[in-house]
Amino acid sequence: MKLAAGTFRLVLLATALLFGPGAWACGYHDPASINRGILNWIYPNALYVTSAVWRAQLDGQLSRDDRPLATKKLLGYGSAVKQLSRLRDGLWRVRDGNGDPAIALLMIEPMLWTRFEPAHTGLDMKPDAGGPASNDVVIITDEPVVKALVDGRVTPRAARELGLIRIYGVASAVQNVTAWLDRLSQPALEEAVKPNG
Amino acid sequence: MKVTLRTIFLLAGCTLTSVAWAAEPGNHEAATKDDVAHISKPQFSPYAGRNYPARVLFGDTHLHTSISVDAGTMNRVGQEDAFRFARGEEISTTYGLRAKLSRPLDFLVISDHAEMYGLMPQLLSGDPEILSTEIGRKWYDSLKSGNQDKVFATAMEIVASLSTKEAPIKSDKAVRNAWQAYTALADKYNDPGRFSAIIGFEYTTMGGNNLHRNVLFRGDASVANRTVPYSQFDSQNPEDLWAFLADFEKRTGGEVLAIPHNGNLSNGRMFSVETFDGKPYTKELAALRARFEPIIEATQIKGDSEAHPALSPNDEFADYEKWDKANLNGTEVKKPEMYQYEYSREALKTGLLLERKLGVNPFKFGMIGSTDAHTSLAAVEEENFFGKHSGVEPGPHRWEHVVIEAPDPKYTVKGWQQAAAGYAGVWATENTREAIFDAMKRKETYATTGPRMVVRFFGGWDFTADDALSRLPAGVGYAKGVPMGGDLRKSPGAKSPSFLVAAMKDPYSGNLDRIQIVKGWLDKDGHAQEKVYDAVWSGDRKPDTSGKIPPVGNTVDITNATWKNTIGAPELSATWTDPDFNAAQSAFYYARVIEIPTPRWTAYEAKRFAVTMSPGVPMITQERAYTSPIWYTP
Repeated sequence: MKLAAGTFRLVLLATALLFGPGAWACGYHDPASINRGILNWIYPNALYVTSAVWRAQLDGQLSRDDRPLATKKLLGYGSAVKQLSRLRDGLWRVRDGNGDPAIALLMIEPMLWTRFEPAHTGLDMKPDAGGPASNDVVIITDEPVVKALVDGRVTPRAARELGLIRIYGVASAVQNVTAWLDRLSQPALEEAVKPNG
Repeated sequence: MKVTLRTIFLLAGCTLTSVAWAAEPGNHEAATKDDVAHISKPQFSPYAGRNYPARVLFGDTHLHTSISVDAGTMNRVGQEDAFRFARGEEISTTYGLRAKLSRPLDFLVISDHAEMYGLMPQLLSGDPEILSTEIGRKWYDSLKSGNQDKVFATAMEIVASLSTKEAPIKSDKAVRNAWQAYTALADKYNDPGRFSAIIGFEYTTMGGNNLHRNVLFRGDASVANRTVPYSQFDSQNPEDLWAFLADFEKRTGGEVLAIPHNGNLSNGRMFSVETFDGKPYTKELAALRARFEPIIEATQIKGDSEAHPALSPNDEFADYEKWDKANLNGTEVKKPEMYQYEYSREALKTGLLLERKLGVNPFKFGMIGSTDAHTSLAAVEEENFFGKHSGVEPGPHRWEHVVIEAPDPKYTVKGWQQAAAGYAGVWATENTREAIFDAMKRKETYATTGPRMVVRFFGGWDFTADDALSRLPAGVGYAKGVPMGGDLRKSPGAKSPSFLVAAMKDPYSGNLDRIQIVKGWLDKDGHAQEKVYDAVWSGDRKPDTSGKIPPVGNTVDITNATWKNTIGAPELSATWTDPDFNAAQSAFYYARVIEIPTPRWTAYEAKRFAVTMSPGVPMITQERAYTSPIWYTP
């Protein structure tokens, strides 16, 4: 069950209309934060990813985008989709082909959900998906992490260990996706062990 | 000096005498009659026989946890961890950061919202009481659907329902269960002498035009459990809250008080001269308010409410951490005529006017600060600030994140506008619930914007300049006058009141710039007036032609978020006598202590995260404290 793109804004508008001005209490009038915050209900400690990302950025393990949030909101979608497309291609390349599960990946800062669904000819990618479908394995991460993964600057294992990726779902499916992600780094590793020249 | 000390010990001895009669002969843990006879004479130890509050206690009377319906939408830190954090332990935040206070607090009031108290954890755990209601079942199914949009819509619906007139879920049993779990937890963490877990809740009426109050109980769970939190679903009229509190006291013998907060966001309603229904105040209602609202929260994360530059144009320190563009949720733009009913100093002045008219002053309140954090973390140190709610926990971009999204973006509040404030300073005789409550009732309290500076303030008729030289100003203060929150009656002869004021810096914070005395009074025509006097200041600065002391200077290195205590003074004390006193005019006086400039939390954040914030973002602060007033009544 997924709603159309921009649903968040529609829901916000509908809520405002439903309850009218002056309805909210106590300085908690930030729907975007609530939208992110409720991840905690469904995916325990999902918000830890946010802190892990900025810590990794401060440590130099991830790149930073220092443009103002407003600018990123305006212009960030295209670059995010570009990184997601690279991830899709990478995942397709290292697919198991034996019942790979569908994945819903959330970039947590922009709250951008993207679904990757295995198909015959490739991995169907639906950015701005609104949310996961039932039985999706959910990956909570953020754009700098996806970029680092597809650039081969961080391995999926390191990303997990640093808390940059959190995976939720049925245990066996989570295992499958974990292994799938890990295969992403193998070509890079093989490149790394090749003798120079 | 000898005479003064003798006076102190005589007075101390007199007090001890009355206490001591109850002691059994031979019980050497309490003073006997003979002991008192001995103690009433000056002792070698200046501290022997001391019976006044000797150590200020710092705490937060306004903290929300995941139990509050709004906080619970994202906050995963519960009440137990909130207590642990306040008493100095290290915990994990909702965003997975390790957090700890520089020093433990002495007390904490977890004041979760009364409205649907405890709903979120109950809802998420599938509490049968909640699921037995139609809306509870609907919300539960939605939250468990796993669909982000559904969950979000439900979360918004739940938060919005906080301010509706009717409770969407009416389950007294569910509320009682959550309340009693909390009061039991508070009893568990209450450790007399070390940490006081005072029981309380927040009455959250009129979401937009904030008329919120925190209700505190003097007693333990056995007392607090004789009710459940009174919410705006019971009544949106705070006068009904006072009636409820009066009934509770009558019915149970317990004691309660209420602390209003964020007058600055009430859009002219918090200190209105009219009742909730727009009628003139009555003497009875004024008395009820004064009885149950002895103190107010004058500073907190959502802005400082001591004074406003529009009301106090001659006060160069009035423009401090102001949230003054709209009401709480940004749905109603502020009009200039609203300010006078929102700020503490103006309300104190209004109180004098009402007292003249009614014979009772409904705004005879003292001051405290508290956090109103919705993170379960009473963390408002500039270098250790965890924000208003979990959505603005530390991170490189929180300064530009939205905190309150107003319908008109002009009135949207951004992260950098949060004030890292405040705490309550309480002069209690010991660290117990009862002693802290009693100190609040007698208004022996002060507000700080975060630093734990020690502030004494006494008023009397006989303070001399030499009194300010004492290393024990309280000894002199209690002996010759009344402490903050007290009253001076009838000027003896032609005397002007004198005030003994002393402050010591927080060792972790900046030196002190100055101590000021803020006076408000009714002039001969019955108009309220105010004046701010510099009572004592650091260095050898001289007043300029307008009588103002020049700024203390500034050592802040914004880039590195550091400062030097090479200016200012670690402590200041003085005796100040009102040069403009008129014995026929009622007045109040309170002390304001100003620190030297230090880095604001935004400066620490810019350094830590290597971010460049917008040019308008303030990077320097001058922390401060406001004492409760001392009133003079002819």
